[in-house]
Amino acid sequence: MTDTDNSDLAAGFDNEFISEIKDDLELLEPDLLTMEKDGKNVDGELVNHAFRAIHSIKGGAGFCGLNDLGALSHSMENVLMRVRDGRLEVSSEMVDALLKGLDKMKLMIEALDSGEVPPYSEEKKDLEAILSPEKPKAETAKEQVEPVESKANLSEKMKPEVVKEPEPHEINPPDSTPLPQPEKKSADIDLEKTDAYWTIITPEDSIFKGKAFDVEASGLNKSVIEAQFVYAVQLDVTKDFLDKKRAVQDFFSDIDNTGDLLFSDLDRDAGPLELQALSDSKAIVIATILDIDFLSEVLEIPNWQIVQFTPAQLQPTVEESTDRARQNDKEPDALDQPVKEKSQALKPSSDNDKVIEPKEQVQSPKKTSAVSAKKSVETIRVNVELITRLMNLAGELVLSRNQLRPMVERYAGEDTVVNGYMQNLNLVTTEIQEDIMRMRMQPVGNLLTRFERIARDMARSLSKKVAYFIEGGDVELDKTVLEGLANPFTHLMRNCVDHGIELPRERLEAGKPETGTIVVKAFHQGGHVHIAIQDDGKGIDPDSIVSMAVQKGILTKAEAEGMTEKEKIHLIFRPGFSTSEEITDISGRGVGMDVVRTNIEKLGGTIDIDASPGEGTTVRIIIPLTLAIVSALIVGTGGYRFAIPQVSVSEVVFLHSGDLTSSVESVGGSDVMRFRERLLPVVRLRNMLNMKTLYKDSRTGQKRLENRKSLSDRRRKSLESSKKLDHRLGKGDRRQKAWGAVYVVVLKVGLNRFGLCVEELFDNEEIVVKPLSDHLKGCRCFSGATILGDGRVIMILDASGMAGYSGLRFEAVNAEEERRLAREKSRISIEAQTRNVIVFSSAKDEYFALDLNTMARLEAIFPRDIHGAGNRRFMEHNRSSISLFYLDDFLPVNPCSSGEEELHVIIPKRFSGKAGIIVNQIIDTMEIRHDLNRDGLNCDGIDGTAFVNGMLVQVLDMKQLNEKIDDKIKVDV
Amino acid sequence: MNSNGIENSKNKQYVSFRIDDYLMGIDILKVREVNLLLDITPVQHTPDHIRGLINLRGQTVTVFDLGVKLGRSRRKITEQSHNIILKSDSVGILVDGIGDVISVNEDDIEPAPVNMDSQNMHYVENVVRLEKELMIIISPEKVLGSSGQGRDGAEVSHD
Repeated sequence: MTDTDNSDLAAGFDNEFISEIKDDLELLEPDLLTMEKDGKNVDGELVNHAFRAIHSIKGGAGFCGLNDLGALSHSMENVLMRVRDGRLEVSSEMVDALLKGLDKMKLMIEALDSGEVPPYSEEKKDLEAILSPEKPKAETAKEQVEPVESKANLSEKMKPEVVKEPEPHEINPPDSTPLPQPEKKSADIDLEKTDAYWTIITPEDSIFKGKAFDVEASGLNKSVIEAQFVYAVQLDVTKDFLDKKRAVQDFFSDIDNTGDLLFSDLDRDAGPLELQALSDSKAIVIATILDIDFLSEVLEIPNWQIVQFTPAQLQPTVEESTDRARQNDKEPDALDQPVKEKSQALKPSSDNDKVIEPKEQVQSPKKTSAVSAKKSVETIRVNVELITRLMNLAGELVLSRNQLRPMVERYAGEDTVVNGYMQNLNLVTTEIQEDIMRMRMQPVGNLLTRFERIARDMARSLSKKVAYFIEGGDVELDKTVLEGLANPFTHLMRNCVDHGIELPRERLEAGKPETGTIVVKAFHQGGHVHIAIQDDGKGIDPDSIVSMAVQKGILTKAEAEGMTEKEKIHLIFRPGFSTSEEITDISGRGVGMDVVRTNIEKLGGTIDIDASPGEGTTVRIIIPLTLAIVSALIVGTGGYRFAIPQVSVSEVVFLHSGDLTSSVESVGGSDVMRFRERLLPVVRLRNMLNMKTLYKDSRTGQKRLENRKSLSDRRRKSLESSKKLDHRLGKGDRRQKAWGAVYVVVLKVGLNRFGLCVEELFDNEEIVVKPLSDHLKGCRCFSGATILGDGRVIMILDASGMAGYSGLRFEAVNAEEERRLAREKSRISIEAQTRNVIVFSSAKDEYFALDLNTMARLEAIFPRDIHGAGNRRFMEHNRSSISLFYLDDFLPVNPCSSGEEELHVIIPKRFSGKAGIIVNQIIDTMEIRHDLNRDGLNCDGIDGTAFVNGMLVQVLDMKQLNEKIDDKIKVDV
Repeated sequence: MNSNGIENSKNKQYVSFRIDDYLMGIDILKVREVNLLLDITPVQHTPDHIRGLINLRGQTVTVFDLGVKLGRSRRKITEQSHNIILKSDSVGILVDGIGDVISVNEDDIEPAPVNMDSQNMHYVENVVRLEKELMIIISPEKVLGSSGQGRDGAEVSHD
């Protein structure tokens, strides 16, 4: 073990190594999770990958003298090695133990600065427990921890394994009918020109003393491509086999599990008797990913008997000798075997055909290496600052090019060559810029895989079953954006598992598969990255959201009534909202979605949620590709330009000076504007920035200082100031026009909005955001600076900062708005209670009103047409007679004053064609309010009195009047 | 320029400049460059001694008004005005005029006289007696570091 050996060397390299260890830890986690998911069918290459990661962690730890980290990683390595060798099957417990070990290692790294070492005995015990159920294995594992342990002892312990070893192959799917395979295999190898042999020569100073080995070119090629180490191993027949009573077959199967055998002069089927007859020294050549110490452990060969070939030695001294091929005719067998068996180890998949299919086998190394391809691409660590600087410079290059272009175009006519140069410069510049941008990009997969772990751990602690899938993990996002997403995503993922996915039992009852699914999809669309988190859980019930919101006082019942389902669901984004009935330790503290939304918006993104009860929830997040470049609206005031990030702009309203005067008013000291039926607080940018404002005097054309402090300040001539104003201004009050037209940029701050008044509006531009230096950190209104195409620096305005700076009290405005709404509402409700009446007079100066809707029609009549019969009066209408009454027949009112002039008859609906009321004069129809004055009125037939246009009107109660008429008609009859 | 300065290791070189009538200097090792990028974008809501931002080849640089810092008036930008860009921190200093690089024998460097007024004292590292006049050596670290502001009433106009 190298754990302590090199600790003194470590000092200067620590950081480099530690960041590598961190990276390896990151790599390891997704591998472990996939292993768990795949269970028994785990991909050999994946295990190898994980193994390599943990192994290099161990190496790094050893190099840095981190013995504890080394010891823990060693335990994990042991477990993984068993898995890789097929001696252990992957189980959830095992992955648990491994993940715990992983976490502890992360803790250890974090705790490095403090110098304390977190205790890790528990994790180690867990890991050993994974190894222990089958005792022999545990002991071999122990042997690896303490390699000093006597070998004799070990050889006995190896025995049970001897029996076990072949098992994996026998258990393996029925494709292992041994005969056809070698044939197909050799056919395969033929394709790869098997007859080519390379000679590799061991160094003179090694134990082999320059011995040459002829190995198959294809095998060697493959190992070089896969960056395996190639070793020559000297086998001491007596010591390594006979003394240990070790079977050759076991040894070879160990080799097969370790790497690819490239050469062997020991017959793999040699029995103990044959062995005895052999000369003492044999040699094999093996290609493997293991380092020399490890190989020695695995093969139980002392490491001085192993010699590693340097890459240079692996360069072929091509000796195409078919003789040699024939001489070594044992070898194809030896070669076929391991390849065959490795392929089984790699692909114990259910699809047998694939395993046998030669083509597939050719591809399989490629395919498996694809797993590691991403990592094996050569990378260097670069300081992010350097990249930022490069990006700036690239931007500047673009700018310089732009400045140069018009000049060049001027000369292009004279010399056409110039144009070509310019185009070239164009292309190169653009490409440089793009590539530098790409340097900051990282695949979202890096982030998303982390959540697999969260989902898994949570699911286990909540005894739920969750499968987690990622689609489009290779979509790339800016590093800073990616980092900013980590927090909100953690929230979302927790919500998903905690609130979304139901317990397995509930799921079965709902007719869904027991295991819940969470799918995270990332894709590009319209210059943005979309990420959708989709689960098939119980969804969100809009009504329970509403009742919760009402209960928490976030919303009134009345407000809830008009809401669409979507709006209801969106309530969860309101601050202080949490749907979880009980607060778990994981989520439900009422800060969740609000924070998520704020975080996403900080990144310039938007979030949307879709849910159908019982079917699942989908959260959609749209984020810009990069934070460094945002689309911004350029506005201007006071001769300066400012950028406002598009994400915070809701809309832009153009106000004529006239509109401005009428629609902006002051509420509680701040300006508000009536806008789309709502009140919008308005801030004037130049006032906010304390700019001295100049305006052009319309008469003199001179620039003058603008003095008004707020928009609603209209400088109306008040009594005191009017003289002064007159004196200063002459005749016209030009101040009414001083504002000219303005643009109101409506900005979003969370759920609130406010308007920013600017005088000029320019284009939308993609701007590169430059953070403010520490000297400027104090200004809340700006979130950064940027450089425009013309090279000018402009400031980027920050919506929430501005709102804060201007002390916008959204609550006050909202309260005012509510007050107005309430007023409006009560106005409407009163309006609904007014009634339309017809007003008429019966006697002089005595006015009555009657509900229009109780009346059928109005007839004009002359007194001479009123025919009396006894004490009754009739008129003729459509050849039938209508009884006529005066109001004073029923009511204590003055008698109708009738002269010769025209009278009117009101025919109530009730008595259409039967009875009518004679009135003197029709005044008008009008609306009167319902709340009549009923003071001191005690008279059937009169509802109350009201003043209308200065007249006292007695409003008739038609219902009572109808009864009276009824009585009269009956009596008369 | 003082020609024998470079060979003599005991010499220090200063970039000389003027604020009003004062000759001042900054250690040349702390200066990245001197330029004429005077298109300064003001940043509102900042102390008076911060003049604004300039675009230095794609990098934003904060420009300080040394005059305000030293308790004098806000600089007026003239044809002689220059920015001295410091190596640290992307910061520039706006000065009224730029002079030679002056080599000074270390023996000629004296501590600042105690009778300088306290605000000025704060930023002054040393003084150097030259043939004709006194050069005040400014410590850029102190200028940038302290949040000391100029006199009240330093006139500000954003037009």
